[in-house]
Amino acid sequence: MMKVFIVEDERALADVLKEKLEKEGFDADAIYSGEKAVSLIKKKKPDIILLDLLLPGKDGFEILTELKADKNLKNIPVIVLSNLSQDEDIKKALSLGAVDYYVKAQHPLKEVVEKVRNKIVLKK
Amino acid sequence: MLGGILRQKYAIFSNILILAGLYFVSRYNYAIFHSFIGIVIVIIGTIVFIIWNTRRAIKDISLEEAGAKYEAMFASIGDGLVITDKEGRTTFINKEGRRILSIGKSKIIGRIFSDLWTMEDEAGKELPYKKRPISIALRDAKEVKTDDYYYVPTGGRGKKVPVSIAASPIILRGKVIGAIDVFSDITKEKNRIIELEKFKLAVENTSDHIIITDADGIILYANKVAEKITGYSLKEMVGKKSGKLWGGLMPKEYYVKMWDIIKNKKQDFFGEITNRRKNGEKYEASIDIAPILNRRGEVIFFVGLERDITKEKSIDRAKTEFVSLASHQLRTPLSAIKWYGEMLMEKDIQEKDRKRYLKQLYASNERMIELVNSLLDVSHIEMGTLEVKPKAINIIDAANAVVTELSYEIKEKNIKFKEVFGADLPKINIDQKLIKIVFQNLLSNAVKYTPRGGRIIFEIKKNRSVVSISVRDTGIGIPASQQSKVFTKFFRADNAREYDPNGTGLGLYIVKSFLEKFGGKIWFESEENKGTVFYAELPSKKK
Repeated sequence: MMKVFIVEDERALADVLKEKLEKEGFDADAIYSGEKAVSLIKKKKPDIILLDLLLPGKDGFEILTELKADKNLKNIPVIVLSNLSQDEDIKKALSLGAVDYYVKAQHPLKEVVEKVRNKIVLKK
Repeated sequence: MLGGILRQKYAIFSNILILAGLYFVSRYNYAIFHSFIGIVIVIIGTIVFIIWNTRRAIKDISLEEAGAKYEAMFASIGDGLVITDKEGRTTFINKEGRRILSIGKSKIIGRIFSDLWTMEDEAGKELPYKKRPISIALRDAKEVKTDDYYYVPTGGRGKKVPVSIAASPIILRGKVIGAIDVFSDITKEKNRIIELEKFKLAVENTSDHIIITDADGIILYANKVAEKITGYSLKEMVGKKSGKLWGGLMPKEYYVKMWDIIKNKKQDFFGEITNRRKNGEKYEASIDIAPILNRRGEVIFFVGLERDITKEKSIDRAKTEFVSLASHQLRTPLSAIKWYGEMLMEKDIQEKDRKRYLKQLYASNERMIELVNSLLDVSHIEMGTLEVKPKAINIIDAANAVVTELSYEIKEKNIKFKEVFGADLPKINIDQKLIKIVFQNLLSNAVKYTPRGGRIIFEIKKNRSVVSISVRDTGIGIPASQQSKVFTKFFRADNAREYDPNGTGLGLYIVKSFLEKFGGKIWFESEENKGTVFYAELPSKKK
């Protein structure tokens, strides 16, 4: 089973994402803050990461930087799921190594699941 | 009369001598010696008579000549000229003088000049006789120059003329024997000065910063606003380049482009620029630099206009930031509504899931409403359109109403809630709706961040001229490192976000703004994991 790891401080959003992904046959895990995200990712070794940007403790940009600096983690694709929609945020996230950037309020869950599936297929 | 006789003394003396000589000759014609003496006396008398007459004739001729010379000389100069004797009587006036004063020679010669014309200043105030230039020249033997007065003819004839006057005493052997008054009509200059003054005043007092530089950018002039904006005095600016004073902060290419446009292309340059005031503070300005060309098309001056737009820029940035933060904040509950709605629409969902999704939908929508209300409050605060309707109210009533609204949650979380309200509280003049929002925020925060079974003390008492409010809880507290940001809009402490994801980060910002609007203040003490006390003060008597 493909493992998806969600970093999202909005509990309601993290929970519904997790639920939907599980329904679609993924093994999903979520963490609600940024601080312990990287250590947990190391432990779980997911196939793909869904990352929010504004997080308590450590923000998404920092997490992304740390992931890309770790040779064991840098190949895990990271999709940024944030409600920040400024060009500079999008550019920054992509330049830090995110494979995609989606504004949550503009994409149905179904679409997010599709993206996740595609990225994992592409990786293989 | 006596002077006339004295002047005649040589004539009388010579005539007496001649008569005496003739008498001698006729009386003693028999005595050769006596006749000889008589003839000698006649000869001496005749010689004296001839000498005197000749001298008088020479004197008369030279005076007449001098007069003609004066007349010719002073006719050719463009200034009016009056010569007076030591009593101030006019002895001479040239043609230009007569033209300026529109008067004939016969009407003025021999008359006291200062009786014919008074002097007035711009405002029409008369200059006293003894302070007039001719009076000073005659009395104090001093030269006087002034451009500040008008000659005003006495007796209603002629017109008031603005003049530039130079009066000097005529001194002969250490004594003042008269005065010369040289004057010119400065009507044209006065008008030009008035015109120039108008322009200068306009430039001086405009709300824009204006400087004029030479073709190399060296400052020649700066108006008051330029002094105010840059912090440099006119003295400090003149002779220097603006780049050395307040410029030089922009990338090099900016200035290269600017100089190319104004100096080579000789066109106006418009732009926005960041400069630095004398005190080191940066400011943003919109600028417009225009080259001023001479007839040959060469740049002779630059006129630079600057408008300080620091405030507008920062409001602009705040607005942009607000819109982006607000849209981000609104998208969170919107995303939840969207995704839970999507889940609800799926086929064959179980009843218990349906209920769960609906509950989430409802909660997200509530959060949306709360957020929109808060955003509206914030927007009113920021735009300065907050409507405050103060009324004398009993603050305890407002407090109790809010406590009642929260009683369900207090009970559900099993919180020990204690009210300590002073008995002697005066009615205070305040907006009831807004003070309720203050209480709601302070109390709902306390309830929200206090774990089950905790304690809250809500106290209101009179303290000299203020009403003191405090809300003390045994909640999660505010981390010391984040305490300075508590009143910043959209800020939520990390532990608060973890403890309860629902929150706008606007409540305390609104509370602080409202209290300040009432003339009050707010502060707090907090320790993480122990609790927080918010203190507020309101003036009990509002002006």
